[in-house]
Amino acid sequence: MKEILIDLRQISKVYDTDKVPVHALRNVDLQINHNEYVSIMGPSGSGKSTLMNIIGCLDTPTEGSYLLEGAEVHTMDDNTLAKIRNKKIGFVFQTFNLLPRASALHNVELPLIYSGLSSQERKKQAERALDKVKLSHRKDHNPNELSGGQRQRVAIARALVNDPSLLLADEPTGNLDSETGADIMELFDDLHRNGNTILMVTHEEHIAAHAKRTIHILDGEIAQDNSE
Amino acid sequence: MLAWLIKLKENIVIAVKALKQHKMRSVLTTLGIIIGVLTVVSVASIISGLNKGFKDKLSFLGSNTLYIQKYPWMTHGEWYKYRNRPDLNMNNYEYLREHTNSEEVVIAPSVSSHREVKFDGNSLTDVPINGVTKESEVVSNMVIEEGRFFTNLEIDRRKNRAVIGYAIKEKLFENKSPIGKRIKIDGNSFYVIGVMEKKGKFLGNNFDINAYIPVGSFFKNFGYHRSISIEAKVLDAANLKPVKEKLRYLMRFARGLKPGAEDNFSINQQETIQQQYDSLTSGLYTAAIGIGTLALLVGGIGIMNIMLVSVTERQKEIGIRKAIGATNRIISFQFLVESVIICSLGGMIALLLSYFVAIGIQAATPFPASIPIWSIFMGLGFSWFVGIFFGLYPAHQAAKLDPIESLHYE
Repeated sequence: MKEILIDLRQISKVYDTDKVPVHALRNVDLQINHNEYVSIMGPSGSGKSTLMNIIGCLDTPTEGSYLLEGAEVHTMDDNTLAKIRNKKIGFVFQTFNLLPRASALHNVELPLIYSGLSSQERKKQAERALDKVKLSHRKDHNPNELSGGQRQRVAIARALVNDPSLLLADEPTGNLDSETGADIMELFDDLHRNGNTILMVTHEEHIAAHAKRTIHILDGEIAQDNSE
Repeated sequence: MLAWLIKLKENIVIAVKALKQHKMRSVLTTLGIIIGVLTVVSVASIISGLNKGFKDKLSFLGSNTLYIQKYPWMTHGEWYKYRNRPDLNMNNYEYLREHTNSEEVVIAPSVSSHREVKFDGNSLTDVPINGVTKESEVVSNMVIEEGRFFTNLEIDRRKNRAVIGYAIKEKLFENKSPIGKRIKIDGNSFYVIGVMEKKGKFLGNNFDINAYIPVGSFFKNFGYHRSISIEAKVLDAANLKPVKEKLRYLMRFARGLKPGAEDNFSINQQETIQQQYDSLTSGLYTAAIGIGTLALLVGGIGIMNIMLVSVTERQKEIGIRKAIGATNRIISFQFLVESVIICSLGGMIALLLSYFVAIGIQAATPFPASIPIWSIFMGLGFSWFVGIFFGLYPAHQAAKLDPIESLHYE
């Protein structure tokens, strides 16, 4: 039986910019199960980033309900949301978003610090995560000593280290050349095969093609939802 | 709890890293804190040094001793008011002694004059020569180290005998025993019968350069027309007030004052000096705390400013940390820790500097200086307080940053 991981019902997001309300999302309904591999596509301004932020618990919807593994995210305060992000969600960003003056290992350890693990335990888990992305040999290097692809691997290791329910990737290959991008996508495919749930925002068809399900967003609404 | 300690440790590491990255900026930022803490701690160290010296030395005056004199100690600039008072004389002293109980109060005359003292080619000029009685030994806490004090007979017969201070022995006798030797005071011959115990120096006065001779001998050799003062040591401190009143009454009687006439003498006591001293030091403290507070305020504003800059510079970092699970509280805690660390750094630099200031004062002035323990805690406490107080606003600003906007901040 398939378990529902993400359950969005009638989600709307309205921004009050310059007194003109902007509807970023309109009544979106979306369910994603455990171990799905989903890509979200859409032109800029379509609302895909907003959807991604709400799913990633960085933002809250103006209306509607969001259940993440049964927990009512739409009623949570800032601190609870931070804890949910820490435990259940791993972010991978287009610009990597690593701390520049910290080693790869320390970057990967960071989420574990916020979950309050002892430094020994942190080190062990962070090394294991770096091993998964095949970067153990570079663990003591700072991001500026790493290539783009290596940086993204560190970011993926950081996203994986807390063993999250959901891996959220925002244009993960956007800042990489096509060859490195392909490597990273291979890594995502592997992670999916090993049981991870992946949700990826992209505007590139061939990247989206890695996913088993593609959702098209247009003007804040789901325009298309294709499964293979 | 453990989780908080882990986060505290991480925050300290982050803060130290951030400070190392901007060494010059960090030091400049703490300048206000340094000046503030330095001022307060230095003044505290000077005053505590003074206190130590002052209270020690003041005790030679004896807290139970009343000084009956022509002038009050604190004239408040109006000394001329007391100029026409008649001098105190030996008759006044005799009268007081006859009418008081020696088990309650011991009374001695005090008269002195600066003279030259010579022995065997060595000489000392400007030595205070004090006329004393048997009672002076008790009243002035005289302790004989070598030889003996005067006998009643020597006092009554106005003998040319002398007890000398420790420094006179050192200087005139090159530390050989002076007992039984003959010294010349202003050309008059005196037998040395005793040497006083060493008393030490304070504020440029050397109490060991003093010589004592029977009061009668004093008048005989140096002239009878002198104003004296009378020292009265009250044996039980609890009686200080009634005895003072009694002495005042007796003095009025001895000097033939009519009822209603103003006293034409003053009864002084150590407390007067103590009060004056306390008001001086409390004035100094107030000034130091004023300057210190001002500097800390300026320093605190500097800290707040630099922390706000730091929050802006690290907005992206804040966004990243929030995205991966740092709560608002953790973020504000991080910046608060950083602010407290900058301030503690300033506080510690200031304490180090004030140590050198204390050493410098000790070396350059006659004032002793010591850093009291409480001022160290106060200095650190102040700097922590400033760190927390002025760090709160920037920390709050950091905590309330929107994670999404911060992530996209370049």
